Amino acid sequence: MTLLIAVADTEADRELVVSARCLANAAGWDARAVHVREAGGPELDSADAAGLEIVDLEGDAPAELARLVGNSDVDAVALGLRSGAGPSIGHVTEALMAGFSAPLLLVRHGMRPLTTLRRLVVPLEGSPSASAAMRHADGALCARGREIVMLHVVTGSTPDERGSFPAPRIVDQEHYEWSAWQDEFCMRFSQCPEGGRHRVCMRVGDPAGTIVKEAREDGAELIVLSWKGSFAEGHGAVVKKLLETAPCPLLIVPAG
Amino acid sequence: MLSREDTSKALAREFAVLCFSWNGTVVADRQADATAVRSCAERLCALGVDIAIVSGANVATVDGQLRARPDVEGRLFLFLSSGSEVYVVGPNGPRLLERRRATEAEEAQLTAAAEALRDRLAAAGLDVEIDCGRPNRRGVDLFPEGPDPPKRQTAELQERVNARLARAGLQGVGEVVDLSRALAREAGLAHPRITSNIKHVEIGLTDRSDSMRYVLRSLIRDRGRRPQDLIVLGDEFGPISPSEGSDYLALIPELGRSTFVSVGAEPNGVTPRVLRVGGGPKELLRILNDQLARREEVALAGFPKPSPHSAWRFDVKGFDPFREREVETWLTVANGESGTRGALEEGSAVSTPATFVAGVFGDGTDEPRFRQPVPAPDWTGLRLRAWGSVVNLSNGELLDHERVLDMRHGVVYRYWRQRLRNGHTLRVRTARFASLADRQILAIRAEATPEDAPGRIVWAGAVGVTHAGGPTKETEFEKLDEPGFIARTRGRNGGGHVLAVTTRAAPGSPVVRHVEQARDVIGGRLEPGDPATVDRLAALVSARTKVPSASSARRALARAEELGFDELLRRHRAAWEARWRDADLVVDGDAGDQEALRFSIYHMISTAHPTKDTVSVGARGLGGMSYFLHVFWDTEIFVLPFFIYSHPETARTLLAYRYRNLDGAREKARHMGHHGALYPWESADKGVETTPPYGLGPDGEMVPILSGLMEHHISADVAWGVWEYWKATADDAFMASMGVEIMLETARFWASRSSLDADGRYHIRLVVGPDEYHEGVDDNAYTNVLARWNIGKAVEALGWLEHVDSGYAAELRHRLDLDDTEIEQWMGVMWNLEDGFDPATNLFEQFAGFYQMDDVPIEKLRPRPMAADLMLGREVTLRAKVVKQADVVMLCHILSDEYGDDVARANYDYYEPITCHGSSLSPGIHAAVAARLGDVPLAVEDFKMAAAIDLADNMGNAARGLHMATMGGLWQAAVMGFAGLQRRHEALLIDPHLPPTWKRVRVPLQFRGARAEFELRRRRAGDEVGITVERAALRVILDGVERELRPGKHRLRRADGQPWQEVTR
Repeated sequence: MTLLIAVADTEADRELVVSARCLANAAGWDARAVHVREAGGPELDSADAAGLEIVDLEGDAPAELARLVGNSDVDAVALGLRSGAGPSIGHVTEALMAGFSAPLLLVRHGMRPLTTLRRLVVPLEGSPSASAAMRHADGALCARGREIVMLHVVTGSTPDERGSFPAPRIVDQEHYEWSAWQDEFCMRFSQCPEGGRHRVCMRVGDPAGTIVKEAREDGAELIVLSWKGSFAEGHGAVVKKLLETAPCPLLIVPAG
Repeated sequence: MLSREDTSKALAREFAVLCFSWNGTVVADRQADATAVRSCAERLCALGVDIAIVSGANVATVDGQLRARPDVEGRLFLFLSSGSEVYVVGPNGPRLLERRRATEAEEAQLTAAAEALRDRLAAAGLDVEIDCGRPNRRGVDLFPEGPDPPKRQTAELQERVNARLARAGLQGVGEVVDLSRALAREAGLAHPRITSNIKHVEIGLTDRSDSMRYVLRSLIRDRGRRPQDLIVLGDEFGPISPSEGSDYLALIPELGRSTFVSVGAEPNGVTPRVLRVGGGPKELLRILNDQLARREEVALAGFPKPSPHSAWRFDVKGFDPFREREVETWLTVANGESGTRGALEEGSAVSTPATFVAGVFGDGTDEPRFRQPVPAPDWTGLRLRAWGSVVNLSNGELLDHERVLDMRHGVVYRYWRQRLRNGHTLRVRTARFASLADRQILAIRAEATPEDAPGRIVWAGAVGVTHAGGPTKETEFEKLDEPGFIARTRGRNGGGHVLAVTTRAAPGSPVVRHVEQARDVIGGRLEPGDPATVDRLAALVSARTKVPSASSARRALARAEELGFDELLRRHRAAWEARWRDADLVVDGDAGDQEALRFSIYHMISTAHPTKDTVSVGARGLGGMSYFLHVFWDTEIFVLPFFIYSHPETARTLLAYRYRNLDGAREKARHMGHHGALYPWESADKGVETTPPYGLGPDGEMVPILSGLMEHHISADVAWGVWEYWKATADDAFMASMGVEIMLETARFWASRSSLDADGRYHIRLVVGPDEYHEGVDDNAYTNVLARWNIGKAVEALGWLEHVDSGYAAELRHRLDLDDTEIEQWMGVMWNLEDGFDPATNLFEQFAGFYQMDDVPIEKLRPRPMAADLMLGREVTLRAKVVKQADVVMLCHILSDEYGDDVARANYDYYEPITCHGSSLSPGIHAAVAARLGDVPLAVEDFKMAAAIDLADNMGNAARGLHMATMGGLWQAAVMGFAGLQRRHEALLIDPHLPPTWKRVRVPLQFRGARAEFELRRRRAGDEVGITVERAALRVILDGVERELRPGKHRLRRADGQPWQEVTR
């Protein structure tokens, strides 16, 4: 597995490289760095790749990065985000997220960089497709001593997908119901044989705000999230909000 | 006369009903061994054949000699005492169905006729004796000094009797018969039945023709058969002396198309209607064996198949790892004794195979410690290797996968095709069941067929432990002397199981056995298309306080092996068919509702044991560990009504479980400082409180559990179950022996639990009602009204007992130390107990202060179902007018014969919008009440909400067990709501409100000795009900007027807004 770190001379590059290398170490991946200079764009002058050799390419950045993912052994891409609100994630990130097929590590300037990975939060809406993040987390990051918080935010709506397992809407005897639900939720969405610690956490509220709050209060170093790759009307609101407010790097995994 | 060939041809088919005489046909005399006939009869009953034995003898004689015990009641009938008595025989022996009782006038007429005959014969110089010992008849012994010889000596007897009569100037027995008939008419008997066995002449009110008419009515017509489906076997159809033989009376004209066969000597020939084969009891046995063989041939042809009718199949196509655990629960096979989840035989990463046994508990090890079921060793493991590879869903490509629960027969089938990584394709089929005919027996047949290449196919039966830890202390394995293994599981401070299991080649399969370590290994090298088929048979024996001896399981396994898979399956299927006959709700027009109802009924029957009073129905059934098989009020209020009206024996057993645990309830009341009996909120094996004191909440925080301390309405719920059962079944024996004591002890608790306050009223403070969002409330209406009802009915029941059995009533009062002063105190409580009812509005206040709580905008309680305490927050719901589940509405439902539609309507309208259905117990009951009130659209919405609780494919609620109360609620909504069949005192109200999609619904019900089948439909702005009444008259209420429907067919119609009218067709 190879994680491609796409440096771009943004203010997030330093946190990006640190976080990406930490993630690669935790997952046992190789890390490579690349810089794609677009026509008229500036030369890279200040990126700190922490000893990594940076391969310089020229061309349309989204297309070049997509080509690398498609044609080579690149399995995940790390990108830096500009800080600030609104359409600030940058055109490269936005283009890659719109048609992404490999996990994206997104690091925003100002967030707590990933330096050690002891606890990660995986938000799960309780549907099979959204549990791709969990499979990825289990497959790449589950390890003894590392805690994976399976965060289910109850919003009042229920996923329509077959096989979904949201928080129960009926609770006959809560002393049995909740522990049974947590056990089943964990069994259904995680079959990790590696001995990692899984903790199911259920909260009620606005998904993005609750994820940020839990990640912050739990001291999570990484948020791993499934996403279908659409910012169309009515879609992607949670991801957008997390890109702006998450306290730690995000690993966005294509939904199953 | 037919040739032997023609006779053989006439018998060469299956008959659905076999009727035969006893003496002379089945047995040569009363000392003859009937073992072979017994075996045949039991096996035929298991195959769904009805058997009617007709005799002039009494039940002690016939049953004492036959001693047949079919696995289910409803197939074997005894028509005895010459048409005066009908018994049905089940696993527990004969049960009287009907007895003709002579009136006092008839008794006097019979005696007068017999005495007149005696006097006439005495005048002719003949001494005779009158026998008054048989019901509805008088026998006149024409030869008192002579013996009562067996039938083979009839000719000799006839000679001696005729000689004696001739000496008195009489022309043989025939003249005495004619004289008897004339004298009987003179005595006032309009239709005397005169019979003779030569030694005796009998003057009676009934004879064999009455038995045959009962057979025609109940076994032919009522079961949808034709007369040609009946064969009648006897030995005396032709004349014996001048009078007709004893079987002649069976030849009633209505059975003109039935087959009559004589196995007797028939010295004077037979009428052309009768086939004469001779041969006596041996020939009868041959004919029975022939009937057995014909069915066995049919059943042995090929791998068993599920019902072809989609309405009986619950299909799960494909394989979805996310849904697998709820699929396993859905496909549980259970028989009231044990339940086995429908996990894949070969296992997978997401499989959770488990077998749970009712009533066997041990101490859990985690805090808080409480009683938990001890899972049995896993008997379902069957590993498969083909072409050297392990076969499972991960090896290669899944081509087809389908599992089918055949609800009609309680069998789960599996069809699977897999292309392995080595490129070869294998086809696999399995069929499994938990025998309903022999509840210790479990069985799987598994077949693997190579499709495209020869290769070695090997099955390996595995014995494993599931859910080790918890209450399971240890498991031991040992080999059987014969191929197979024993596994024992012991619970901590509790019961245990012993499993004997073996795997063997199925008959005809070209595979051989190798026993290796802990597995039965069977296989062989097969050509494409050749199946490797094995039968895995298991016997599971359990005990509540110890691990049973291995020998008990060995014996049960030997029994199963002797019968073999096919015979076990046949008996099991027959047992299920018998249960469905009185339980099936047929809905035409809405396949989804039909599936939900049959699925519910299947699992309710599967979960309850009809005879074992040490067990009851756990809240999540026998298919999952959730709720630890603990018994709640769900049983009495939600599930029990289904059994009361479909299988009263099971209902009685469920209540006997409460009676058995009455001491535990007394102990709980005493422990809490009260008198009487306070049933535990959660009950396990000892009848004591098993509710854990605390548990984990939704955030993982520790929360105290108050239901064990405060949810006291369960005591009245149990009393309600007792009363409902008694009123619906008229089972006075149960009421006298168990019911009254439960009623009195629960009433005593309520009197003790209530406190008299300064306002002069009694109050019940600090309780939790059905709406568990509000804990520690005062004067919950559901609790208080039921408490008052409980006291009133207890006093009424005691009065009844004093009337019917004053001696036992006095003994019971003495044992309970119950004097009149205490009863007066109870009555004081009853009359002055606060109930929150306002006659001006007809509303019950749910509890004191409910009206002062905060309003919540209705839109915040949508969509339903909703866990409002989660969504709004516990603190909010505590202070708000938000109702978790039917509470006051439930009260109006279960006391519908106390509170009329006006009260129900007012409370339903008030509480329905603020009920969020945050409990699985809620929507089914709301559906029943909405339908009763004619609000059909809302009833349909609630009905579908209830159906989705276990069956929705995006909720996963069933993963750890099914919701038994929901299933009972669905049945109640369908029967009491939509079909509108509700008990009112000792009659059934008929007031249907069918959903628009239901073109027709068929409802079988048992009520106070009657069996009735209702067929309800909507027709052109009106309702139509067809009712077939059997066994006894049925009292119904139509338009507020009670009337009696006699056995037979009835048809009622009403135009909308108009009264019912009975129509002729």
